[in-house]
Amino acid sequence: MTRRPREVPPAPVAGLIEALGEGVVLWRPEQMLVYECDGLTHFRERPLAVVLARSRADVVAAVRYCDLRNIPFAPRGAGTGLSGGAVPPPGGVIVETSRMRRILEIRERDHVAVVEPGVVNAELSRAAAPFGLCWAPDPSSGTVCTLGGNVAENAGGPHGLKYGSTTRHVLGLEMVLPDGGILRLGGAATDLAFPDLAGFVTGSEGTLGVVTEITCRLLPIPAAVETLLASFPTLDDACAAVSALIAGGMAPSALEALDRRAIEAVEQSVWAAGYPVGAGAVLLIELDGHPAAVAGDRERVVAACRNHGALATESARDPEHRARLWRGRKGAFGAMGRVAPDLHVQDAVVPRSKLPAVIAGVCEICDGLGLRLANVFHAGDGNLHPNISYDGRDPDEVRRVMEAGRRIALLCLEAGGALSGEHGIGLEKRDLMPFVFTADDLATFDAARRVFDPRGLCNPGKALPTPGACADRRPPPSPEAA
Amino acid sequence: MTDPGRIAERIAGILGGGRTRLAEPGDPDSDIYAPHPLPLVHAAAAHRGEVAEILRAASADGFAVVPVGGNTAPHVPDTTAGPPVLLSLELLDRTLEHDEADLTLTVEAGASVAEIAARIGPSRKLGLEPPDPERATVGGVLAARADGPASARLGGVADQVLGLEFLRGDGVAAKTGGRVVKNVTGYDLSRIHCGGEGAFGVIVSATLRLRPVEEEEVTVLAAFPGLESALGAAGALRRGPVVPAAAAVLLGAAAQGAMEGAGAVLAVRLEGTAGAVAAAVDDVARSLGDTSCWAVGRDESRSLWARASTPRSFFAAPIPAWHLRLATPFSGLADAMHAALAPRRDEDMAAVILTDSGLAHVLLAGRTDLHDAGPGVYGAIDSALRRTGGSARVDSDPRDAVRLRRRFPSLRSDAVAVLRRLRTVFDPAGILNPGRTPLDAPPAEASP
Repeated sequence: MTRRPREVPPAPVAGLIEALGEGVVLWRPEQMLVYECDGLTHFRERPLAVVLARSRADVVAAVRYCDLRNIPFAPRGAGTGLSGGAVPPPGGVIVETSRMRRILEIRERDHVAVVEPGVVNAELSRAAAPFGLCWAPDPSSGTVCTLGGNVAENAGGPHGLKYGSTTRHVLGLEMVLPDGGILRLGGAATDLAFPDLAGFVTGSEGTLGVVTEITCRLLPIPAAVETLLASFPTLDDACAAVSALIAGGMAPSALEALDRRAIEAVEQSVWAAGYPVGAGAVLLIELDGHPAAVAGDRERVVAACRNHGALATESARDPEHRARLWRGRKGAFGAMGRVAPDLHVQDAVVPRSKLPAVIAGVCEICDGLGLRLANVFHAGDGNLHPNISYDGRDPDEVRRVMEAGRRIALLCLEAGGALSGEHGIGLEKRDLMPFVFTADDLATFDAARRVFDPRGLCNPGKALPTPGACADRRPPPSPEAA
Repeated sequence: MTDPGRIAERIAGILGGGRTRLAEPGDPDSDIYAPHPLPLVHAAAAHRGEVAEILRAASADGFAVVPVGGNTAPHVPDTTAGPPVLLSLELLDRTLEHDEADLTLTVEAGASVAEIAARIGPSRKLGLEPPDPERATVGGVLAARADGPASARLGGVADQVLGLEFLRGDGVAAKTGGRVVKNVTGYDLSRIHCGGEGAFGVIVSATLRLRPVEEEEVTVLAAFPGLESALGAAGALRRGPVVPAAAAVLLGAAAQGAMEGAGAVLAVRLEGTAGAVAAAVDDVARSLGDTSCWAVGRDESRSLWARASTPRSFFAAPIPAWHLRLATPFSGLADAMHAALAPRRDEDMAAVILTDSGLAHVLLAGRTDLHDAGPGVYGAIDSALRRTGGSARVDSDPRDAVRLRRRFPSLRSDAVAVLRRLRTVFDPAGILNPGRTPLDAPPAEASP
């Protein structure tokens, strides 16, 4: 029997293993498959290596190694991102922080938590609950995604409508800069002397460094919550109700919409929530706060829905019913997996008053390209998520999906909207940035980026379209230093 | 270029003589420029193109530009610096877009906060409650990051900004953000401009969130013997179920302003539907236990919080005042406030402590005995802030108006290096507010 020769890692990786240890560095192709892409499976790149960082020291060692040898790198949390932000740069190293999952401190009196970046989003709320506190940003991937990733993308989620996105809840950060230095920003209290640099880093899509600790603002768990499901004959009617709710001064904590196709997919899946299958659309509306405020708001919301053609409204009877209604919404993307092997989830924002017209335009674009579209979105923010089901093995369908994504983005911009509400620009929309920003705007962004990353090694090619950040102009990694 | 006459000539070449004025020492109208030292060239730009041209000229010729709105939070240089152009933006005050359905407003930076409130009407509000709203401009409020009483619930000034347009120090126009309420597109440069004190560019317009004005507003007031008992009550409220629109402990002249004879007053502002507010008032009363309280309606509530946002309004007559702003986590408030208040008599002091956000404004009237006690004060505050993890700054010090206002050593001083490099990106020639921001401050002394 022939023995297989022992595999030897390529030279740059051998040095990394030496610096960090064998169990911490992945380099065999079959081990790294899952790291080739994030939740946007369209873009793939095999990394040189993956560092499974256990601590800040591991992150520093990995980043210093890359800096010394001119190797690009990208931070990664759970890899649930939907814009290609965690796709490895060509020839680059992934620095994964999801093993750094300690909650270091919860300060009940101050409503503050200090956590490592690998803490799962939902886990922080679970840990804070015994103190009567919670973490507000709740992206749909909350049971899997990590806070480090949430910070990178300024994650939102349904309750961002009332409580704001992640930036609003980050008080401070510790990060490893691309030269391996450590930077502490902010803290449990506002730094009165200076601007909010932690807020600047939040939403920077992992291009300025690797976050290794987050000081989080917790909120008291609302005293009362009410969850309503309103069904409408058409998505247009539902959007009109949304406009009325917002303009009328009602402030739900969440206001989510699903259209007919999304409802059908959900109700045929394990996330079935009891949504009315014949309806054109449903709105999932949540109210929270003082019990008297919630009771009063409920009446106004139900009235507003009825005035805009609601077929029916129902309130969650108990916590289990509430959880089921939310499972349907949060499982919707997963439910679309029944329709076709692949799913492209778009992300764009438009003024709420433009929702009906823009959604009609999105439907027209997808119909015109022969694509299967379902709409699931944060109606209260005007944050659309057109879900396009497709087969990734069909190159023509893939081409049409990418074309649809581009046209949808441009349609939203024309309506006065934004390219991304919460998924970030990543790789997916980098080339659309010149439709929003001038050359001077982009040059200013790039110059700010280079303050943190002068050598362009940290997640190059993401978020900004400037040539200097393009990975294909990266010089080859230098040989190991003597 | 350091000759004020030549600078004035240069500016007049851009704006014309009618909007350019050279003010030299001994000028009979110099009061209007106080506390900016003379000489200076006062320039009033009418549109952003003029601002850009002035910045280009300043960068090329090497003179300083000090952007100013209502001059409510003036910056003065630490050392004798060259004569600046005091560039007023008050003529840039137009509303550019008001999307009523989407609750967003885009306005030029020179519009005052009070003027904007009048334009958006009584059913909408900005989440901005700065001192002196009649004079404070949007650009200035953002640059100074003057977070107000509602900041714990609505967010600080930076959280109200959806997008900004600004001019870099080299006159190049750039923007960040957009006009919709949710956006992750490009870097959020508004986080650098807010609190950047004009060192990172001149803000020319901002897109801001609007919010509906609630049906009812009531403030519940309760009197306490002193700080500890008032903070204890505030702490109990933080456990819920009420989420106030704003909550503050008032001390000294501020307490007297709310209720004569009180050592400390807890003020809790409640907003919502009439039924919700009534129920919340009951819950606040229950939380206060044996301490009696009373509620005041919308007009009186607004008047009280307007005064709380401009703490010197609690003094009967205008007096020179040492104004300290202090931020700590809630659990550190007692410690930090003891250090700040130690050398005062009640009638010489007004303090507004925003308990939900851990922000405190402490105003101490300028009497000589306070400053004789000075050296210990700064050291004690510094020690307290290191214990509690907070920060502080002196916004005005009557002893020497031209001295750089003291900043306490920032506990995050490694950020200073990054900010200084960022400033070079935005203002390569270093002409914006040189010597007038914390980035230029020498290391703070342990005693004055």
